[in-house]
Amino acid sequence: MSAVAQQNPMQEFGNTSPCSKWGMAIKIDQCLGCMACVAACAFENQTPFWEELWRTHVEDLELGTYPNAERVFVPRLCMQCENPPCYYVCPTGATQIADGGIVVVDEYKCIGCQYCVEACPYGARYMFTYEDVQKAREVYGENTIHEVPHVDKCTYCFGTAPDGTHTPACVRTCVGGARVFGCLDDPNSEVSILFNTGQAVEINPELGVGAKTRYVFNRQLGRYAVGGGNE
Amino acid sequence: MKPRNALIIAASVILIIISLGLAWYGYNLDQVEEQIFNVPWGLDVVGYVYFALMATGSSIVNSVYTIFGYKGPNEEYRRIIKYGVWFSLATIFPAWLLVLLSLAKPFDFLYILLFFRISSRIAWMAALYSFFALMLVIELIYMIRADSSERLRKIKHAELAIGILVLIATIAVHSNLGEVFGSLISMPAWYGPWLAIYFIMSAVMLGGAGQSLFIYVSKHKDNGIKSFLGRYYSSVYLISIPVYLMFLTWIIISAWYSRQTVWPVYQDLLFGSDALVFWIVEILIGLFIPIALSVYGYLRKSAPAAIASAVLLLIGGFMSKYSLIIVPQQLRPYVWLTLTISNFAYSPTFGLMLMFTAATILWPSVYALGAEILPLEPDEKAKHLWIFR
Repeated sequence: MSAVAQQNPMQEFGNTSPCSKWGMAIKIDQCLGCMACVAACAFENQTPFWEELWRTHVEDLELGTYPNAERVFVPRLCMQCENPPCYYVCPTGATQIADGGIVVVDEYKCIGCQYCVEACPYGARYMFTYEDVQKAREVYGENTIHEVPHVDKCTYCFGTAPDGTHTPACVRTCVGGARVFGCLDDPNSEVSILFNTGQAVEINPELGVGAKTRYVFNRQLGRYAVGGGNE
Repeated sequence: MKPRNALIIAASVILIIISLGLAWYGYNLDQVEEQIFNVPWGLDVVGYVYFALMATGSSIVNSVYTIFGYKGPNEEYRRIIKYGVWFSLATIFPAWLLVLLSLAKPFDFLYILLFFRISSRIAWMAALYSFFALMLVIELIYMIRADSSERLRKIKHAELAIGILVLIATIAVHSNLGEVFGSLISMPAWYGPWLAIYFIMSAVMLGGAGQSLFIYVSKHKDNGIKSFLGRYYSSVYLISIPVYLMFLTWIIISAWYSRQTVWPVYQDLLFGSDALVFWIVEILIGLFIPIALSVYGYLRKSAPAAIASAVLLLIGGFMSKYSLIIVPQQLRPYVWLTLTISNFAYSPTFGLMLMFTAATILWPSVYALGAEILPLEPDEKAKHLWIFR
């Protein structure tokens, strides 16, 4: 195994599938609002749930007005932008674009200036404080993964999947099959089809960040072009 | 050394030590207090911007002497210019203290220079601010040494060249500081190219105000200087305040036309929960009363009027920076299926307030120490520090 490969956390867990661009499509209609993804992410990535800070959470929104009102659950997480504003503003290079185009934070290089928190148009970052580090040690003991204060964010569970596949915890846990994750290089993957057929759309495309987490809005269940688990 | 001077030096050193201790205590307290996550840049960043603008603005005011050659009717400016340059340098200390302590890991700040990312405005801020400080040190050393060296005094081009370099560094720092905020598409109330210009005008007001206040304290027994202070600094305010007001009006009008995302911020300032602070402290106390006082100060060459104006400008200037940085974070728009304007509450933690108090104590202490030990009087020979000889 080459030195580079040894440093790659995904390969450490056995995933050797090459992919230059991972992506996620979220089918809004299939989100039940059960919050299983939030819990799974919190424990997988040891986010400071005691502060109610999450890498992913689900918003309970009401759209429209009576009698045409509609309740929707919208999972929120890092958009994994192709031109991430958080990457460009980071003064120390702590925010990096890892293999597969995943935006990650090197917590030892992060000085905690929070410029990236201000720069993220999707509000996907938060500060993992000194106090949170102490609390995490109490909660997780020796298994704690965050050792120093830093800015934290969703990394599509980069390097953490214990089953050897690079599948984020939220996707593995989603009971409604709302989250579709895969490689955008593969034109036959479900996520690619959702992206390429225009079913999965970017939130705020005018920002020009090139989000790789996109949303599928379809008010009639079971009418997706492929998959979706409602056939 | 006279007993009074020794007393000032001792008091300054003690206050510097106290302020650094207080700042460190405040920082540690802030780390364990309840954090306000939705407003990442709080009072510490406001304080940093406030002092940074004052330091750089003071440097712009100095350029009237160093570049444009205005020395006052009886060469009064020549007698205070070194105090002005030292004021710029001394004001950097509280700014740096606050910005370092705004980091989660202050001792890792060198990573900015070690792993410099050229696309980051904060990285450039560190580089440009260091360059600015270095140029000020060179300018001060040149001015002091030129007073005791015939050869240096004859090289007029050197003085002008250093002055120009300082001004370039100052403008670069302002422009970059404006873009630290103005380049963020996520914050519509900051986004755009106008913030750099706004900062420059704001800096001239704050720099002139801080400088006049401190120089007045140093020179309050000199009637010639007092008359000069009254007229010169009043004219600085009378030029800068209307231009600042024009930019502020322009910003508010343009906010009106981008109603959905930016207007809520200015609506809050003009008519909402922050309106009282905006109209009374920022506009009336911070701008209109200083205009009236400055007119009086200019016509009567009244130093007290100029100083009263300076104090009010410093108070109003602080509140305007507070509003500029805090309110847009509280009323941050999120477009997520539908536009949502957040309404986050913010009040500084006790730790942050201690840090800001510490910086405010450090500021006059460093200035007073320098004013005592540095040869800032015209033709004064350096006695203590070899670098100035």
